[in-house]
Amino acid sequence: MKNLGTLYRFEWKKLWDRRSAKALSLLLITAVLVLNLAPLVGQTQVRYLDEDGTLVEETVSKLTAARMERSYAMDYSGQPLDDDLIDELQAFIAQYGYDCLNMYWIFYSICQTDLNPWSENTTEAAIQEAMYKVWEYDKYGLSLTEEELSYWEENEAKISFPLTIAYTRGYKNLLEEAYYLNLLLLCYIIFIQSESFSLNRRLNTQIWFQSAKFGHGPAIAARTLAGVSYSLVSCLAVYGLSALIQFGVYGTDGWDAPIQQIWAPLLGSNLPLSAGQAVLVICALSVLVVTAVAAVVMLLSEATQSGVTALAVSYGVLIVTALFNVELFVINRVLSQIWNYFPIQRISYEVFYDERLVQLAGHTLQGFSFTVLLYGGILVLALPLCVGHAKVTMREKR
Amino acid sequence: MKNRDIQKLLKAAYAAPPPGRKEAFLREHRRSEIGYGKLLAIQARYLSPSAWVLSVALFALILVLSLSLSWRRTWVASALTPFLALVVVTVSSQSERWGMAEWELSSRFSLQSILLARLLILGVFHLGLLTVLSPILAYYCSMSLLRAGVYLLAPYLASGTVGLFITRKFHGDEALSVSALSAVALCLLFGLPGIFCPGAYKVNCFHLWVVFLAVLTVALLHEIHCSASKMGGLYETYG
Amino acid sequence: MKLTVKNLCKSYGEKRAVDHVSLSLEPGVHVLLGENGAGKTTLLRMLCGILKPTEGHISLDGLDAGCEEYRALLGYLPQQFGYYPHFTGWDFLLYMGALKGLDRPHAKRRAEEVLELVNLTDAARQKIKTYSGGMKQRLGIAQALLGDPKLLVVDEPTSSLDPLERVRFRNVIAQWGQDSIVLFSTHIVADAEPVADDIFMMRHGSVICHEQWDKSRTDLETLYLNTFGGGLS
Repeated sequence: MKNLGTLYRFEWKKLWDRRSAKALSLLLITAVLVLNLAPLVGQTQVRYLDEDGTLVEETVSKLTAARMERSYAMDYSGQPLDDDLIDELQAFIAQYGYDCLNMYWIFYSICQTDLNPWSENTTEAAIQEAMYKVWEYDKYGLSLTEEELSYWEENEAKISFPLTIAYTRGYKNLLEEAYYLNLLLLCYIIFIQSESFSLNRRLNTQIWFQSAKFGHGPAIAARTLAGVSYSLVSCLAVYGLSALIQFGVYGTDGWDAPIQQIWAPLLGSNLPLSAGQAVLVICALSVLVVTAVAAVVMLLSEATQSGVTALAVSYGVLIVTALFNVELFVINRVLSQIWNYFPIQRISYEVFYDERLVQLAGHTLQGFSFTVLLYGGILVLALPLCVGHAKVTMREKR
Repeated sequence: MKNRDIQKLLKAAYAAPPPGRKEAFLREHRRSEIGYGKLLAIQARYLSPSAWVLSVALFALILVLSLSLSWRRTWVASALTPFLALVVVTVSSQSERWGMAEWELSSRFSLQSILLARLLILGVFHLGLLTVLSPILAYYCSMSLLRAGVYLLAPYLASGTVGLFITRKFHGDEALSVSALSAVALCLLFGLPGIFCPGAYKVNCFHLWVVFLAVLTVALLHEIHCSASKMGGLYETYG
Repeated sequence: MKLTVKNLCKSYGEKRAVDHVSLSLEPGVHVLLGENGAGKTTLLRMLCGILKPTEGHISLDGLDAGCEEYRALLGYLPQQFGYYPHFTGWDFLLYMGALKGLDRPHAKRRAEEVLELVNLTDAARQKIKTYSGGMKQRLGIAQALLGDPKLLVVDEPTSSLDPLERVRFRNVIAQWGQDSIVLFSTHIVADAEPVADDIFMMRHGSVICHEQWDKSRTDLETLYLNTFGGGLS
């Protein structure tokens, strides 16, 4: 399409060149930096055995403490969490305490399995049994049906025991903060896109499009493309920056570690995903959800020709679904499942242990598949509707 | 002769004659004028009806949620009061958005007076609404009236302060959109701790709320002063 | 080249804004005069393909109004228009060039030419929000000329211009009218007199007077008052 590149560039300029857009972008980046760097600011007490075997206690910056934790954890990376290692840990704890950095990561890893590392009952077999118990408990907690229970029996993660030690703190942090990153992105994108199609009416510039050769199809296509790509770029920038910080500080070791191992809340997950795959999945889902929301906001902006209305409706839904969480529907599984598919509820680490399946046209879909289908469908529906409506209203009917 | 001396001589030669019949002239042309009390009454009539309707609707929403939810009433009410302040911010920027600023700047009552009148009218109305809400919240959440009042007032003042600051820095409809976003952000700021950190609304943290409220009161007064000072000139609404 | 308007009507419910207007315009400057609410802007908007007529037909050498090829030949300056405040004048013209289907090198060349024509070259890199009313109007005229239009429609183009700029504009219009169809509506008869080839007067949606105009005449105001004033002079 001729001139689409130029039109696209100017549509980006319209989105970006506002003072409010630049101020908000700065605020967004600041919030992401604070979210990722705040735990590393300040000082903390550390205890460790130095090369001579002397127990050292000192106050260091939190960043240094993180680096030290990583360094000592990497000494055990790749080793099996077997009875020998557990015995070694318990002897170490008895002598130096659990918070001594040298074996802290082993201690932390066992804690994530819901067991007490001090206890003499903590063995390789006990870890395996504890993890299975949590899986079973979670299945009943979610009120899974018989079909769902059978499905997960066939498809659950086949974790090999003993577990392998891996330093996965970076992955854990990313999964933990995904909810907040998604919330920030949604707030940002809703604001930016709220005027994407109503700006012309407010500024009285629609006349230029109505009378120009490419003012109908190509201009609208460029506007839509700019909106979608702006959202994509924003998501990638936010997650990219977060990943850069987390992996820069904590490293990428543990890509292959099963997600059930990296953090206690994920222990109940049946999904056969590694830590690295889980981070990729949640980033990809968030990008899809945010882009779909952007498309819906653009459609609202076009349909109502009012940025304020698009803003009010979008933020209204966001606030209600953010402040009133799924506990509202604890007695009704269907309602709680629907609630969990709203944009702000869907993107969090909880998505990894939502084992409720969705039946659609005779097919059984896991939560991820259905999320991709749902938000992909919203995106695919909203954009043509938006473009179609814009083309129809281009020829003034009044 | 120096310039200064020439200027002095010229001033003496062309000095204006002493005023004669000034009072008689003014008496002849004086109109019957209204006082500031009447200005308030007039401005109340000319406030956009949607401001009153939205205020009452928000009050009703907060009341219904506070009465019907058996848990977490405090933070729900706290989270929604920033939108009440957003109504005030919307009204404060009304002149500029509707292109009335130039008329009002050239009228007898300055734009500053009109702005202050509008803020006073709506502010008092909202204070009345919050005064009705406070004892209800205090009763249903089993807390003192003071605590309930502070939990309602702090987010309101925060939203008002931030909103007035934004309307000073941005213009036209863009200011309204950014103010709306700030109200949403404050709503989440006061609401999400209710979910993730319920301790923020416990008695042992109350002293922090009191300090926060005092800071916000000063900040709001400062913003009102700055907004009123800024109203002395016309600003193009660039859209 | 000929712009043919046949039996054009536009109704809004009971009210008829344009009532059975038929025109046949060839290259030249055609001026539309009329009272407020006569239907001039509605007629011009239909000629630009922005408003859909209730009845009637518009075509430019066989091209229907509103189709892409028609709009490619059109240059339009509306009576009221907005702008993107953070665009510079240069950005705005390049953007309009893209909308008009000009490729980038051509758009840049034309933008320089039209900025020179309307005397905005020095202010081209400033943001539009810093422009005065007259500068914005001149920018609007520049964008109308950007695509070398064969049909130039301008609605009240000189309302914000100072006398010097109005003279400059008249010269541009006169030059353009040699090869293209120029249709402009105005209240300022002094702008129409020296450039018009013919005058159309509208009232209550209809063309009530059509006069071939001799540019040496200076009695347009008298003609207007006699047509609309009913004795006022």
